[in-house]
Amino acid sequence: MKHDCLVIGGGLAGLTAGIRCAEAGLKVAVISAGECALTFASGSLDVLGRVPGQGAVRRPFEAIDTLAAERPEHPYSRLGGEAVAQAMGWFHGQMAEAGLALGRAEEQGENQWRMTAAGALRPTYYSQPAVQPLGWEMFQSPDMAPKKIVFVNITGFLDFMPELAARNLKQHPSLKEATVEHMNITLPLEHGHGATADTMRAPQLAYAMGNKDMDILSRVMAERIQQADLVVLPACFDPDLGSEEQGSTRLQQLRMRTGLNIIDVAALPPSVHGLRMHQALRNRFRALGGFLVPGTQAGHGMVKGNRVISVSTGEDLLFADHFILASGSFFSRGLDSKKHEPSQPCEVKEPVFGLDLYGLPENNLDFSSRRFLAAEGQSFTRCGVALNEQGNPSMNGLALKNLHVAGAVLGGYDPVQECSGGGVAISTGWEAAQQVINQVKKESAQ
Amino acid sequence: MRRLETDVVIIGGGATGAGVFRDCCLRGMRTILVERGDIASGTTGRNHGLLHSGARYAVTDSHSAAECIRENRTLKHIAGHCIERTDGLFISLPEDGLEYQKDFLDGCKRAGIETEVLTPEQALILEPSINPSLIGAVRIPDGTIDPFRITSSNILDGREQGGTLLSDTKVTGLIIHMGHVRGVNCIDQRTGEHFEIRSRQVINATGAWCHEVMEYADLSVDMYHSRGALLILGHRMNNMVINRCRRPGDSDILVPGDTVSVIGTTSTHVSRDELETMEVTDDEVRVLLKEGSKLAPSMASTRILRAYAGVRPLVSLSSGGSDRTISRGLVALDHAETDALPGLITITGGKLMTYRLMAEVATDMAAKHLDISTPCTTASRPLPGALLSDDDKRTGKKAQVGGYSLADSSLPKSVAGSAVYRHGERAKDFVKEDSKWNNAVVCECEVVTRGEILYAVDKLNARSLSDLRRRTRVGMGPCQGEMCACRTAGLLAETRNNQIEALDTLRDFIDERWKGVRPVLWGDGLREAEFSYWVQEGLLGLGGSEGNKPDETTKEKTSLEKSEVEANP
Repeated sequence: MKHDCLVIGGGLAGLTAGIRCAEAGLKVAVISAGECALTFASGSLDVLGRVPGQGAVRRPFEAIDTLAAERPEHPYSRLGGEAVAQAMGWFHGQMAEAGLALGRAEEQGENQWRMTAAGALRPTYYSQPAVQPLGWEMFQSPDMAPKKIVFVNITGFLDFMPELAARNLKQHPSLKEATVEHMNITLPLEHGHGATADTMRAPQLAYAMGNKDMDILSRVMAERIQQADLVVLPACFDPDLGSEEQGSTRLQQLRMRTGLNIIDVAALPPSVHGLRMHQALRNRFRALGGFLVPGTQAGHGMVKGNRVISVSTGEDLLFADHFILASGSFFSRGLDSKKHEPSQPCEVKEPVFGLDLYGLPENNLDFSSRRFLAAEGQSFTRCGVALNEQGNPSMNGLALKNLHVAGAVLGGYDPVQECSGGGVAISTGWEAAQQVINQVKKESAQ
Repeated sequence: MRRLETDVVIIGGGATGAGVFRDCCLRGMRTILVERGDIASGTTGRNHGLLHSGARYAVTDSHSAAECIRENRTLKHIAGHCIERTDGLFISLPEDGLEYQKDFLDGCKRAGIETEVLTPEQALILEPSINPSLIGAVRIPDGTIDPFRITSSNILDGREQGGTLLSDTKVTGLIIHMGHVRGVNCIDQRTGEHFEIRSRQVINATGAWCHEVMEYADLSVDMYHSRGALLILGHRMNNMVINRCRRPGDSDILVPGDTVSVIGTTSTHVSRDELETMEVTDDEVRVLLKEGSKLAPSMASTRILRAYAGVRPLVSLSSGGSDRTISRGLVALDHAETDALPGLITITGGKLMTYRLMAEVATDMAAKHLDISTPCTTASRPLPGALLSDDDKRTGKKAQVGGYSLADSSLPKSVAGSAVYRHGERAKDFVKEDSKWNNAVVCECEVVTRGEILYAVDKLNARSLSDLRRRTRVGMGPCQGEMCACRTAGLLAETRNNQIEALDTLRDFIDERWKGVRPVLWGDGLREAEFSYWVQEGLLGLGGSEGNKPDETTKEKTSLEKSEVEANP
């Protein structure tokens, strides 16, 4: 079976590309080796939250254009702010079709804040559904900031740290005067089969909770929390998209029954928000006729001249006219690093095609920073596939015409420090698909 | 200024200081131990964790060899929960020849170390990970010892006898009056409070740093600081200690320990101002891997978890020569006799293996000055946690096959077993079947429970995350504290009596782990680091929010000072 387009990688970038191709009527397959980075993502989608050295970014698409001038190697630079905005808007529509209504800041084109399970605030663009966005102005001054915030945990659940979060959040300049409290609520866990919250990760907890638990949770919260501006719970509600059909999500019900402004934030991985988004992506891709092949690791890519012919997977060879590589970075094995000679820096390779890379280490220590959480970031995150001006990758300098690259396997950006991982995955996936679509159109016209 | 009074002040909370602490307390002296950081955070925690049989020194230093085998037998008796009786092999490779084996066997015999000569085939059956091209092997009673655990047990026993531990407290000077050392000046590094401790004897057990204390009294000592780097491998490759049967050299001991194996060491002379620089260099990694792979070839393809280094406190009693030829024997100085300065005793040199003996010698000196005739009992009295006898399940044959277990526990073996493995009979203090949340597993790699964490905070004086790592092994496994560090910080934040800001200690812990990962950042180690980075910085934002970044310049200050700085920007 030959596809118009074969996408290597079933994460955010790969499925975005797949959905765009399928939507345009192409015969497209996505092969996926296993879990993707969404599994431990926050479930919010960043576009550009920080420009290193300049601090937080309020209007990401405008900042992209400034960034493009300074950092030509950045994947955003080739796209420009307008195209990224277009891709994000398109993605929003696709997720809405799949039953996941992402929320953005009230002001078009503005970032909002994401609260973390450790009580930090990070700039982001789209938030998960059913959550009032934490608008940009909210944490700019004590006047605008919430006066009282309460962190609530399910007793025993280890992957959410309410005391730590409360103490950390209290340090934020806009919240010096605010009251930040925390409390635990013990639940029987109706569908937990006798297991207790201390043995569970967030998705298990979400599945273990029944109506009885929701009753207790809403009753205790209504009784014990008075006049809080913001209540923060771990994300352990509505693990499936389906619950929307029952009228409203559990979190929405909780908000209605308590009258409290509740948000749920991603606990330690696996992430309920991330898994739900992954589910929405796969559903959407399949609904559009895409062919998803899970549990399949891309082996070696066969190249003839300046074209990719096929990709091996175990014993099979997969043929297609066009290929999109969205295999992720080191963790997902989209990039490999080996040590051959201890006195030399480690050797980094893109294992499927052996593509030319950006940001290779020159010596052992320049691949990382001395401090792990350093503001300057970690260099290894910026290492990845380099693209030429036409947006194609190359092998030993030879550009491959029918191969496009998207997401974390790309080099030239730091998803973590820039808060840009989601936006780069979506916009480069969208752009790669767009290039494939244009080429297919051109070929069929000929 | 606050003033404390006591009989004995011990400076330094390594294995030796902890041993002196226990010994003094057991002999009825009122004792205070002052440690500038946490116990076992210096040389003690930065070595192989090898329970020497003494065989390594059999040819070159028969005195040390004899000391080692005596203490080896003693420690097996008093510290069973800190020790694994793995035995060891000295293998001869073709490039070594069998010549040395003869001298080796003679040396072992002289020192009283039992040996068993094996054929290469026999050795490979006993320990399949060794280099199959070996030409000979000798089995000797090496083992493994957990340096953190044994130090903590000594401290626990001393505190239970009434002794006081002051960690995070630095000695800033000696109180010398009329030619007598009468105590020490201290600073509490957390609160910044200066205070003094008046005592009748001060015992300087600061090991590689002992010259600093001696300089307070204008004394000097000729220290030879020898740095040794080691690598931790991602899993337990070997079950017996593997040595090279040749003159001691670089990277020729591979020691199993808990869930991992450790290869080391290198040996480089460092100057005294380099004692705090513990980053491992590329060159050290290269030497360790090259030589280590000769012991166990699969090392070349095994993931390396981290690299670390420690400094041996060797004392040059003669000039010249490399450190491998300087005696590893203990050095005990009663300054009343050597320098006409009564009230000060220095105990240094030696090695983890002989910590108890060193403690006994130093305590004897102090006891003499204090007219205390109570004899030393540390060689026969088991440490807290070591009461489970050999007949018990812990070391019985059944337990070795099926993992350790609490006799009457229905908890999963992995949970109860890990607790008993680390804390012996004291595990009963926190492994309780009815405790609803305390059996929750916080660290999956090392199976550390919430109960164990809270026990370590409550009973073992653990205050920071790194302290907890040394008490419980939390964050020491293959993932290097990816998520368990965050969970543990969450628990620390819950324990309100703790003075440390949970987030500060979490950041310190993460940076400390990173220090060891950076020199070996490739392959699966890099994958793991990237995942940790996404979770800790990307998902949780531990590096700080906009307008709320921890200022690097205030980093070195105490947490109290720091919160003041932040409150008044």
